[in-house]
Parts: sequence; C-alpha cells; structure tokens
Amino acid sequence: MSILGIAQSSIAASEAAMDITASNIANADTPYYVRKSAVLVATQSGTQGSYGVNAKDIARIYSQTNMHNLNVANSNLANSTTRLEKSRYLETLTVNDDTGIGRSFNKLFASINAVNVRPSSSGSRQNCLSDMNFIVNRFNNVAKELDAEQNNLNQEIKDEISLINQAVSTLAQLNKNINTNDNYLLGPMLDQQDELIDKLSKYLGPLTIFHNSNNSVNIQLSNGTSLLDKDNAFTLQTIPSVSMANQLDVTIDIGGYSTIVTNIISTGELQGLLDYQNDILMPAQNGLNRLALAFMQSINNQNVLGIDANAAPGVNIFVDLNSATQGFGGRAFNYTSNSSNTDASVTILDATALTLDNYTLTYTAVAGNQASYSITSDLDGSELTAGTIDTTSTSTINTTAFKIDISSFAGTVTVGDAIKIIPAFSAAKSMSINITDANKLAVAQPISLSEAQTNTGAGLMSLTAITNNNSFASGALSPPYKLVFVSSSSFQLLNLNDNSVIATGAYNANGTDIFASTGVSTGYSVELSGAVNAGDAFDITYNSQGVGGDNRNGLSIANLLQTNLLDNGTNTFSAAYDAMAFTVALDVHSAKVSFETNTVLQNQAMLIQDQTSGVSLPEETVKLTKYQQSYEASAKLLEVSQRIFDVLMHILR
Amino acid sequence: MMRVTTTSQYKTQVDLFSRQYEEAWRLQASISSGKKLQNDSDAPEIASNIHPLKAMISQLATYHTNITYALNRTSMSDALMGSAVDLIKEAQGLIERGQTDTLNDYDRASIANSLSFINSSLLNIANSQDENQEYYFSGDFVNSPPFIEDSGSYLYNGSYIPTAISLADNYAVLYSDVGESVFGNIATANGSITVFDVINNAVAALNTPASDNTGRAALHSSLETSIGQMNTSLTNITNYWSEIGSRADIIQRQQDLNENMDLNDKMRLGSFQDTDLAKAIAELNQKNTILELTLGSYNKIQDALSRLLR
Repeated sequence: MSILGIAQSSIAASEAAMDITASNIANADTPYYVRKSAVLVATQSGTQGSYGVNAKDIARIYSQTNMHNLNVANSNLANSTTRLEKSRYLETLTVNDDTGIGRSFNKLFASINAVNVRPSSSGSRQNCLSDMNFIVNRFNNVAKELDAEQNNLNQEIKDEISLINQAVSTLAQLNKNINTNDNYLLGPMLDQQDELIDKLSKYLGPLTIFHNSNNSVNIQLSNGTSLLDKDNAFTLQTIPSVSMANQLDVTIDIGGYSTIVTNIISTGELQGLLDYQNDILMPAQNGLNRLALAFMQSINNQNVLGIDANAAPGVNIFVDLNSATQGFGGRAFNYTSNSSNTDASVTILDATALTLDNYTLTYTAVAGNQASYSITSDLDGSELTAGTIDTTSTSTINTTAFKIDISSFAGTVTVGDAIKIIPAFSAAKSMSINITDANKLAVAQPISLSEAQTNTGAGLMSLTAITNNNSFASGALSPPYKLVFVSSSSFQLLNLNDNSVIATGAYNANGTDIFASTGVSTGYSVELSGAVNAGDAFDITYNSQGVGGDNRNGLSIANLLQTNLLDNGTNTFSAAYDAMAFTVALDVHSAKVSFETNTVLQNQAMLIQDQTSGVSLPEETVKLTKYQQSYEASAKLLEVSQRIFDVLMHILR
Repeated sequence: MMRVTTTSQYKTQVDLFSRQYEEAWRLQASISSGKKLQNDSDAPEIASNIHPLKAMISQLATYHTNITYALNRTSMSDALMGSAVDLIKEAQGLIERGQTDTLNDYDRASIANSLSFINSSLLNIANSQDENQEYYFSGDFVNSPPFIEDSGSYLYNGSYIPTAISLADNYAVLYSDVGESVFGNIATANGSITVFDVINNAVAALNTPASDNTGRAALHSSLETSIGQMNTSLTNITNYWSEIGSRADIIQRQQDLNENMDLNDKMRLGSFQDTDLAKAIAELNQKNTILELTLGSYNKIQDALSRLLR
C-alpha cells in the first residue's frame, strides 16, 4: 500500500520545500542571509520500484572563498572610506579660500607696502598690524581645529575598539552554542558568524580564520596573535602612545600581558584612522606649525634690525618662538617605555630650515657615563645626526634647524630608551602677537649717514648691511661716528660725541668698508667710495630724524613675504601654505580614487558572493509555484489513494 | 547562466542612480557657484594652478597701488622742476642784467629785490610738501624742511638717504629724493653751497653800492661767479628733471608690464576656475535625461517582478 506513503512523503517534502522557499523570499533583503535549498531524496516505499520523497536536509548554498574575498574587499573599502571621510573634513579645516592663511600673507604684503609708501601714516600702520593679527588668529584657529580633530580621532579609535571587542565576544558566545547538528538552528548561527567576521574584517582588516569541524571559529591577527580561541575572547584596549601622549596605541590583553598591536593592523577602518592620523593629519599639523615658526622668526628678526615710529629699536612683533613660558616648549617627549628620563629642551635655531619631519633620538650604546645616541627621521628613518653624551653633565646637540639642550637625567640611561623630537610642536596654537602699538613696526633703519657741507671731494657713503642691533639696542647709536680724512687715502674714525679718535683706517676710492678698514666691530657695515680730499668729513648717526620717511627696513620686511625662504628656497610663506593645503587636497583625491577602486572591487566580490548565496526573487517565485503544484498533485494522490481504499472497503463489506 | 539576485540587482540600480545623481549635483553646484571646483580635491592639478595665480594677482594689485603713488609723485616733481627751471632762468637773466654798466645803485637794488623774490619762490619749491605735509626733497627726513636759513646761509637739513617704493619683485624706484643733490651740490673752494646761497650772494653784491671802478669790478667779478654757479645749479636741476622724466617713463613701462601680466593672470585664473556655463548647462540637461531613463528602467524591472508575483 505504497501510494499513501508516497503521497504522505510528497506532501511533507513539498511543505518543507515551500517553507524553505518562503524563508528565502522573506530574507531576500536580509544582510548576510545565505539562501537555503531543500535537499530532496527518493526513499524506498514498500513495494519494489516505488519511491517516496524525503526533505532530508537543508543545503546552505555557500562558498568560503567567496566570503573570504568579500571580507577582504569590505576591509579595503572600509579603509578607504574612512580615509576619504576624514581627509575630506580636514580639507574643510585647511580650506585654501580667499580668507585662508595663504591669501592672508598676500594681504599683509599689500598693507606693509602701504606703510612703506608713507611710514608716518598711523592708519596704514594700524591696518598692517591688524593683518598681522588676522594671520595669528587664522593660525590659532586652524591649529585648534586640528587639535580637536586629533581628539575626535582618538574617540573614534576608542569607539571602534569597543565595537571590535563586542563582535569578538559575541563570536565567542556563538562558538559555545554553534556545536549542533540541527540544520534549522545552525543556518542562522552561521549567517551571524559570517556577519560578525565580516564586521571584524571591516574594522581590523582581513583576519586569519580557522574553521573548526564543530563550526566554531578561531581568529588570529596577521602576526598570529590570537583574538578568539574557542570561547576565549581577547580584549583590545587603547593606551596613550608610548611616543606621543596625545595619540593612542592599541594593545591586546593576553593572559595578563598587554602587547602593542598598533603596527600589526594592516587595513580596515581602524588602520584607516591611524593612516589618516600619521600620513595626513600629523604632516598637516607639522606643516602649519613650521610655517608659523618660520613666519614669526623672519618677521621678528627683521623688525629687530629696524627702528620704530618713535625712533625706538624694533622689538619682536610676535612672541619669542623659543619662549617656554609663552607656550613654545614641550618639543621633546620621553617614551613612556623608557627606563630613564632625559630632561631635554629643543630650541629653534633656524625655523626656515625645518622640514615636515619629526625625529626620534634613540640611545644606541651606553658605556659608563658615555651614552651614544642617534637621531633619525620619522619619515624615512635616515639619520640626522649621532654622537655621544656624558650622562653626568649637561650637553647640547646642534643641527641646522634646531638644537637640543640636555640638562639632566633621571634613572639609568639604557640602550633603546628614546625621545620623540617634534621641533615645531604646537607652534601654530601658541603663536601670538607681541605688540599692540602699530608704531612699533620698525620700518626705518637705525643708521643715518651724512656728509659735511664743507666737503670738497666726491665721497659717497652707503649702508650695506645691518646684522644685529648691538650698536643701537639702547635707543641711540653707541657711539655715533665721525670720519675725518687726513689725506685722500687715510682717515680717522672719531666718536662723534666727544671727538675722541677711536681708530684710523686706509681708504680706497673704489670702495672701502669703513669698519673693516678700522677693525671696529659695530653690527652694521658702511661703505664709502669716490675720490675724497683731506679735511672731508662724514657722520654716522642714529636715524631718529628719519623715522617719518625711512622705509628701508620696511622694504626688507615686505621682501620677506616675496622670498622663497622655505623648503630649500622653493616656497614663499603663502606658497608653503598653498603646498600644505594642496597636500591635503591630494590626500583627499587619492583617497577618493582608492575609494572608487575599492567600491568597484567590493561590488564585484559582493556580486560573486551574491550569485552563489543571495536570493533571487524570480527564481524563488518559480520554485514556490513548482512546490505548490507538487503539493497539490500529492494531495490528489492522497485522494486517489482514499478512493482506492473506499472501493476496497466496499468490496469487503 | 549568471544568477542575478534581487539584492545585487537592486544595489546595482541604486548605485547607478546615485552616481548619476551625484554628477548632476556637482554640475548644479558648479553652475550656481560659477566655479569649476567646489574643493581643491575635485581636481588637484587644476587647484595647484589657481593659488599661485591668486597670489600673483594680489601682488600685482599691491604694486599697482605703489605705481599710482610713484606716478603721482613723479608728475608732481616734474611740475615743480618745470617751475624751478623757469625761476633759475629768470634769475640768470636778472643777474646778467645786473652786470650792465649803465645801471645805477637804485636799478641794481630793484633787480636785487626781484632776485630775492625769486629766491623765496625757489625755496618754496624746494621745501614743497605733499598732501600729508611731508617734504618731497628731504630724503627720509620727510618731516624736516630740506632747506633752512642759518645766519644768512641756506643749509641742507634733510637726509642723504632717499626713500624708495616697490613696483615689482626686487624692483623699487626712488620716492623722496635728497634735495641736496637737486638744489645744492654747487662746489666752491669752501665746500658746496645751495642755489639759494648763490642767489643770496648775488642779491648782496647787487645791494652793495658800486659807484666807482673798484666797486664795479668787484660787482662784475662777484656776479660772474654767481652766473657760473647758477649754470651749475641749472645743470643739477635739469639733470634731476630729466631723471624724473626717465623715472616716470620706467614706471609707466612697469605699469604696462604689470597690467599685461595682471590681465594674463586673470584670464588664466578664469580658465582654471570659472565654469563654462553653456557647457555645464548642456551637460546638466543631458544628465537629467539619463537620470530619468535610469529611474524609468528601474521602475520597469520592479513592475515586471511584481507582475510575476501576482
């Protein structure tokens, strides 16, 4: 009596198959849902040659390779998405528009020129000072925004780490429960496992996954560090970076030991954040800080060589860029992993020689009091300088752009101890103006030259250089000089105040440096040329009368804004800012390109994964119709079998 | 056969649509702002051309202001020198007339009077001030009158350092000149004197009674010296005048050059940064059509699917 059995089995199988199709349709849009398919098997049913059907199993249509490829594609996409989003935001912070730092240097050039046209105009001076203030403000604001960006970044890293820990601990929980043979239960758990692993790949990059026979997984970082071992989840944590207190390192806690794994992560969102921090944000900060230092230094140094509207010696327009009390310090950071602490301070010697680099001083050998060190570039690892210092005394390490003064040591200097050197650290944030009175713009030169009206020769004097303010720092020329020619080829140099003879010098009408000829050191140079006669006299005096009209130092200040002082003589201040903003724009652009590429690759990986495991509604619809018809036909079979049974009963009655 | 699954089909459609939409949006933004690039990163290679050009244009604007100042200054100096030359020539004529033997002391006194008047006019020119009450001929001592009288003689009181203003990178022209070389620099055995001293000396000579031969001889000799010195002064002033002329010419040429550069830079900037409106609008229209078609085909596919399920 197999027809009844066949009908029963067929109805049950069709029902089961319809269930599966229905769940496929219901989950067509569910992420990570892997389509299922009924596995129908013919079963011997009583008499020879007649077979029923059994929905023996549910097949999960799945390819591990496809899923792995999708993990990789997703982690690359997450990485470039992060970089794109972050750098795009940075581009809005460093925006190079008409009110940006780059153009504000051009504006300052215009206002200094206006002062030079009429040095006594207090309106022009005021305007020039407010342009200087504007530049300071822009630097301060951008620097603050970049600092805030670092803080946001740290928060994002922390958030990311807690999401990772959550995913790993859920996977650990799943590992416990997944040990089942019930395919109805297993399917959703495997889907969830896929989802969590894919999430982890997005955060951390592709991981090494070991699929155990009981469907549980073990997960390792690329260097073999275990993240998940059976139901043991290892927790990631963040600590302040060993070298930079305002940055984070990622550690993993294994058996009570904490290991730094920041450098092991290779792609994914977390690495995207770290890449952004190291390759885009930090260089932008360094660029901004360095520009602030170079600008302050150049303007200050020039202003100090002039005299102001009140004939007082020029002072720093911006606060001293090496003044620790004004916030220009903290340029050297001992690693937190050191066994010793070196008390080191960094002084900028020539800010225009600074690069966008940071440096690491590492102790390479220690013998008694003698510690050998090497200072290397963080960008390319090349050695900047190396030497040996005595750990029982103070020492100074000189480079072109800066020097490091080491005053004392705490603890025992040990090979491997290191100090991070960030010469321009925080400069743009600390930058501030030192003068409030626009009269202090020292556009006049301190030296006035004049000739006696009684001269019969044709001697002409000119001021050829001012190298320091030693001779006029007191607010007067000390001393003023008088040159009196005793013959056409020799002269006496007199102190103009008391006519005492200071020195004598030889004269050559083709051009004589007065102070070189007399061996007197003044901090400025005066050249005299042309035929002179005995008795001719020349005065070198303080230019207090010239401050109304003299713009010679102002021309030099204006010239600083037009000169390629930065990047080995290739960039002006405004061009250096443009270059920095351009680097950010390029970073955005390249992030965009890799985002687009990775989007295409991710789409492909997803399509391939989807072609195998995704649900096609038309396909399921057709299947549904098929199983429905099969169900109806089986029901018919049952009816037929019922009728046969009725006939049989009738006969027997 | 490739299985086209519902999710990827949907995703492909959405991706396509959002891509088209983004491009349309970009075009729309560039039309409304008039700028090709909304951010430098849209096209860094174009952006890298824009900023140096903006810096150049801003610089040229500064130089343009300076050129205007410099041209005003030279045309003012030019006018002053024109008057100065006229006065010198008039003074020369008077001094020569003073040598005429037929004149009596009264006639000479009257000439001396005219000369004094000329001298003070000339001194006014030398001590001219600009609209800010700053002197033209004191070098950088712009607040000190260049020539002052000190017990009967006129001394140069200004600076020997002229001021200059920039017209281009590393190129400056003189602005406030050293008056000594214009109105002074007349060599005598006792050093150099000013043209005012020369005229003053002639005035003194003409005011000295010369009734006898000795007196006349002294007058002749004195006026002869004055005539020689006046010639030197005229040479100094005309030299300076022609220097002003060539200075104005140089400034003018620099102005032409700067204006050409400015125009050129602005045209280049425009080509880099400004939207080609006609082109952008045409592209936007095309993009709209494509958007509608994409949306239309999406709707058709959805329709077909729902008919299948019905």
